[in-house]
Amino acid sequence: MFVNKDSLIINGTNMGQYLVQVDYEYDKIWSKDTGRENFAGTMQGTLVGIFPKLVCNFRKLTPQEVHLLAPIFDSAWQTVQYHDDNKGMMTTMETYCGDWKIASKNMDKGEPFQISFVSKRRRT
Amino acid sequence: MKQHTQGFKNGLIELGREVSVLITYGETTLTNEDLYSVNPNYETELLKSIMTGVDITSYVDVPVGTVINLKWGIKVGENFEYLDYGNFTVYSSERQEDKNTYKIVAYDGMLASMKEYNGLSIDFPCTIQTFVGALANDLGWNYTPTEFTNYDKQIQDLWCIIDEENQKKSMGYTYRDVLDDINEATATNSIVTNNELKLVTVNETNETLPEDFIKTTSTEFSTFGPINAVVLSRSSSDNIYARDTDSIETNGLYEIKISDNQILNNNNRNEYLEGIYSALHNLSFKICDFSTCGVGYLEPLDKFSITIGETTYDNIIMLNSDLKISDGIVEDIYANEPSQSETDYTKADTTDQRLNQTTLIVDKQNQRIDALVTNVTDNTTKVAQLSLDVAELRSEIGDVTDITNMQEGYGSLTFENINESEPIDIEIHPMADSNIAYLYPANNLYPSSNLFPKNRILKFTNTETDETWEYLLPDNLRYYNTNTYDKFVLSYENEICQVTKKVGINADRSKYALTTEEVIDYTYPHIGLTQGNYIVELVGYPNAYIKVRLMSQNMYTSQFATKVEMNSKISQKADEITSEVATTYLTKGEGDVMSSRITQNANSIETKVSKGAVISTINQSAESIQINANKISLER
Repeated sequence: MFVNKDSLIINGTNMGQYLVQVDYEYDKIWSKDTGRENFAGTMQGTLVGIFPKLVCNFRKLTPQEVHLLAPIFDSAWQTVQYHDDNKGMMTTMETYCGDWKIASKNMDKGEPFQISFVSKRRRT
Repeated sequence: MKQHTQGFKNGLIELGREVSVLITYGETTLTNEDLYSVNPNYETELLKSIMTGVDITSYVDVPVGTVINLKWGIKVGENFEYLDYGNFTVYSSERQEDKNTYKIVAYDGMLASMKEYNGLSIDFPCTIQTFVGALANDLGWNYTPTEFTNYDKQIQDLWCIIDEENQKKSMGYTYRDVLDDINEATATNSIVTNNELKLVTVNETNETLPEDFIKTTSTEFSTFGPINAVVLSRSSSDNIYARDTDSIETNGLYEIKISDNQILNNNNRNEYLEGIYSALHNLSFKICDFSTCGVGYLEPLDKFSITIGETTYDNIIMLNSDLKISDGIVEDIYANEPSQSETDYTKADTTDQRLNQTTLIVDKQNQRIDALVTNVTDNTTKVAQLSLDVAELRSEIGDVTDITNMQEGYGSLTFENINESEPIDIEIHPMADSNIAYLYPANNLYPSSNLFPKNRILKFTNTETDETWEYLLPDNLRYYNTNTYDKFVLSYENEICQVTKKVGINADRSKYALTTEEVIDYTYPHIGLTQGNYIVELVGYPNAYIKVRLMSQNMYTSQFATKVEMNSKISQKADEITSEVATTYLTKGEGDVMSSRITQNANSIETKVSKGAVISTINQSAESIQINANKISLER
């Protein structure tokens, strides 16, 4: 979670000033063999890993701010430094993000929008 | 069973196990991120060599010929605990464009045996154990000698041929084929682990997997065994066996058949049979096919049990394993029923060592097939033999009849249907401190008129005509102990009449053993017996040992022959056929041979008929016919 103003840096850009909320998801990915498919009915399976996902909610941004952040959103993958709650410290991970859009209702600022950054690899 | 902790075993069935795979070669280590899937697998049966392969789907290419080390493990506590699967050699690497991966196939050390066998440079014959050691050395494997079934049997280098330059050459066998033959002859399997060859047998682990391990079963569990019959088969029809008839009656027939094994191809198969049968007798295992969440630590031929509900299925042997490691782990374990065989035991035997033989030997080393049928009775030996190689087909039929009658016993012997003849063999010696000798009365002893002192008469009585023949043994025969006594021998064929003296006599009539035996020859007697039934007795010595051979009345001859041998032969080559018939009458010291022979080739036919020294021949070619004979008769 956010612990100070420098808790989230993406591609070297400190995101703190642009965000209103960040959801820190620590998603487990299970293997295909997970389930109760054994004669004992025991729930068992292989944990592939924890893949952190940061759901970032951006405030209304000016065109200049969007212009600054757009290259990050458009890149295939990003380098994200974040405060990991399990490790209790700043951790670096490579992420990918999906499509993004920004709604424009006036010429001063765009509407708030959301974008998710998902770890490419499991957290080690 | 691979070394592992209880934590590892528990971790396999836990929710949230974490898997790690390491493939190491040189300075490079491939980890989970470099690998899509890793699939170690093997398929084997009892009495076979085992080769473990691993199929790898990787994002990184590993060149062919690279030796890789494979480990995989799960997280136990804070760290990963790995199972070491040993070294594998990359056999192939193929790019898969659609997945942007490489499909890599690698095999364990047994891969080195998949090459032609050209013989070993050691002295033969040698023991199987020595042979295995030399074979391992040839393949660059280590080998620690152990005592396995039939390890001390002597073998030749059976899987190669010797060429004209006395060099060993391949017969088309690979080293692995040789290992398979060794495994069958020794009731073992062979495996290479960490470059060391081991001959292994079923290993009882006492391991029981709870049902948490078992995901699905594809078939009902059934049992093969207990093994109660072992058959060694040659050319599919020449079989010898060992079996437990009680077990067969109780459990049904569970047979292991070993066919066309180079080591078990000769007439000493029964020497191996006992050991193989002992090793396999009463072994049973489950026929099964089930899927697990991954075990990994059980090795080939490990025997274990599983529990499903209230039922425990024991005697499961690791014969086939297919372990798939990708994001998760699944291991399929299965065992197939041995190839169906049911030998016709009425046409099989327990040994090759019979007087009456019926054998069919396929000698791949010399590219030859030999078929043999013999029938032996007291007086006759009949043989039919067929030999086939690339150059020649030979058949031979023989009939040897011993037309004599030999009896042995004490004091008196009885013979029937004796021909007009002389005795062929006689052997006499005293028994149990009873000399065969004249009785010398003391100076002051006056025998009465009706007292007849002993003599040394061998008496032949024709019970049909009451004729008698008496032969006085030429010397006394004295007895000293069970190993030291005088002996009389008469031999018609060698014209020998002699006494072998081993006992001396002192002046006071006490006896002693001669330090050197003395052989004394006597004039050969002529005892002309007439046709009839006989009693042969050593008069007055009921306990004396007598062995006598007389000539029987027979259909072959009224002449005096001790043995009649008849045979016929046919030899067929690409350019010549020869047939021959011969009859030989063996008499005293010489034989009378009658034979005829036809030799045919593209240019000529030669015929020859002979009786002793009398020979007639006809030689026919395209240009002429030449006839040689004492008498020629041309009749219209």
